[in-house]
Amino acid sequence: MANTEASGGQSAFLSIRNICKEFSGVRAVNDVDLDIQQGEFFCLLGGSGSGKSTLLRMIAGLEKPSSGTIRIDGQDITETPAWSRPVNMMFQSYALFPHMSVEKNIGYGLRQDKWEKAEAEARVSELLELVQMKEYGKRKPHQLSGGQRQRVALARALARKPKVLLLDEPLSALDKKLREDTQRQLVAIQKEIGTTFIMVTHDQEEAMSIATRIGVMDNAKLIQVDTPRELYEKPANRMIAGFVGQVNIFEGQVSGSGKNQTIQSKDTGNALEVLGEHDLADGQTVWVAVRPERLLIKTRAKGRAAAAPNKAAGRVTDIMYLGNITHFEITLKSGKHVRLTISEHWDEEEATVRLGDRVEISFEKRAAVLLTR
Amino acid sequence: MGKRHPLILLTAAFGYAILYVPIFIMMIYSFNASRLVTVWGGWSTRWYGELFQNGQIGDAAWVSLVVAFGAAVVGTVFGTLIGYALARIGRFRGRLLLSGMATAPIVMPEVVTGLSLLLLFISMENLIGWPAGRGLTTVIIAHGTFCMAYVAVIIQGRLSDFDTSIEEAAMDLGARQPWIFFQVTLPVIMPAIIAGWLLSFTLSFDDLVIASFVNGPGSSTLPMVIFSKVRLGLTPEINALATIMVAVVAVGVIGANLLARRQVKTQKRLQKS
Repeated sequence: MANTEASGGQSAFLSIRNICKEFSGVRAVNDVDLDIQQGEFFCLLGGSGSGKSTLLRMIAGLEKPSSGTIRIDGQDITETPAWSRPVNMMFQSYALFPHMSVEKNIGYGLRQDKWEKAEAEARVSELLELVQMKEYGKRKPHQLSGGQRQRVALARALARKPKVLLLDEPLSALDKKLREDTQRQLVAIQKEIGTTFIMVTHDQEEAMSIATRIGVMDNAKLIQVDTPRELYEKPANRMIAGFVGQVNIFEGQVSGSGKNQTIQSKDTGNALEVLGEHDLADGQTVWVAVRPERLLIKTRAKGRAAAAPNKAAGRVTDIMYLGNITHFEITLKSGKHVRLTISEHWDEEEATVRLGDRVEISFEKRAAVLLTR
Repeated sequence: MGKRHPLILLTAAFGYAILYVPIFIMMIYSFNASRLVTVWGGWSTRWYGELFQNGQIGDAAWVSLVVAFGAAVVGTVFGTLIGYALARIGRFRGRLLLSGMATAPIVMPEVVTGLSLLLLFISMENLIGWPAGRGLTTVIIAHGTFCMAYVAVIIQGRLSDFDTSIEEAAMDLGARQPWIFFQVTLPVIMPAIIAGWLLSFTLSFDDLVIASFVNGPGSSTLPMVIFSKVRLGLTPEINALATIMVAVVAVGVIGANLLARRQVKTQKRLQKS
């Protein structure tokens, strides 16, 4: 997957500056800046009420921003009405016209744009082919399955060759199996036509597997914009760390300064060490995030404490064997619960860990991420 | 579903009997060969034959059909507009009052509606010279007003569970109002509109009181003719006529219900999958 870096300023294809939206005094979107490059598959990730859908609807022109500007391809479209924006949207409910056949649905935008009849027909059949719905052109939406409707909605939104395609939780109505297939199709189609896609989703796995970059929204603000890998490995705060995959967070207190600075954690009963230089104040509370698969585990003799940085002693309180991986729940002496995942090719010692065993968990410096928020 | 208590069945049977036994008896007596309404003289379709030869009843039936058709059209057009406006106007102070006022004619005593419309027509004639006298036009307008209220309720109800994202989708695909309304909204709510039309037709066809107030020479509707005939004494002809009217009304009501139900089903199927 392309590792597209945000390069702000004029070069961005879609450029959003200081966008705010208020609904009767409540900020639904608060001062968002966002740059998206041409050909990106961008995901806006966030919980319900985070403002992600409102942001998408403002790009579509279905909501009017309270302030700020939106530019596409160098052109300011903030005041452009929805019907003349070079942007199309695929709705969560698909919003197919129930009284029109599949062909008529897909061709609707072309009829509004007064395309030549022959050209429009050619475009419709091209799109039917793209979404593999060639035999269904004459059907009505209620004669289609959920997945087929989703594909018709995609074809309809692509018909006018928009510069940016907006997708509002397009897969949320599909069951898990179908959703994974559809994700792959969506990525394939996006690669084939090269149109910039912006998708809203609350499903972090979906965002991680599809997107070239992800923008995480929380409480009306855009918190972090990064590639899936960066987001997973360098989350900006505890909310994102917990939102994108599972994570263990150890709280710590900074003491001292300069070279002698240490972080003491009540959770582990030991010091926490991380890589790199950090500008921390004496007495500051910080958090260290470690992914469950980055934790190491080994059995420990009775009464022996694990006294070294990045180590903690505890007991195994739950084991969930899933075949390829095994989940452990470990309760540390401090009472904190820690999740640990071990993949199938574990070593001898790890394989012998049983429920109720005394264990020592540890992690390497490079596996830990320091969070100050 | 569990076993029903026999008392519930009995209550239901009793209720339906009260509703339908009189109509049923009337229908049977319309096939009575005897001239005396209350004495059974064997089966016959004689009164239907005589009915069709009665010019006065034929004229009145024609008037009633024309009025019902016209009133249904007037009521449906304006009722749809009111229903759409009420459903889309958004929330504001006095919204409930406004929607209550739109549907008030449903609960208003017909005598009041009839009288007020008569007064309106007379003052309009005095002021602007239209409508000139009472006749078909005034009956159609009068019936149209109360039909409008019923249609407004039906349309408003239909639009309350309408997925507005299809209108947004139309706008997103380059359409503007009022084309969105005609290309997308109207076709989708069409079954509700037709149901409203059928109901209006039936209601207008039935009405006696309002028509009595605002009619003029040559615009006596069927219910008016029946009523005036009944006052002179019952004839088996009237039974036959009433039976036909029941049939016409039943077709209208059942049609309206079927349409409404089909629409709900399609909607549910769309939402479910």
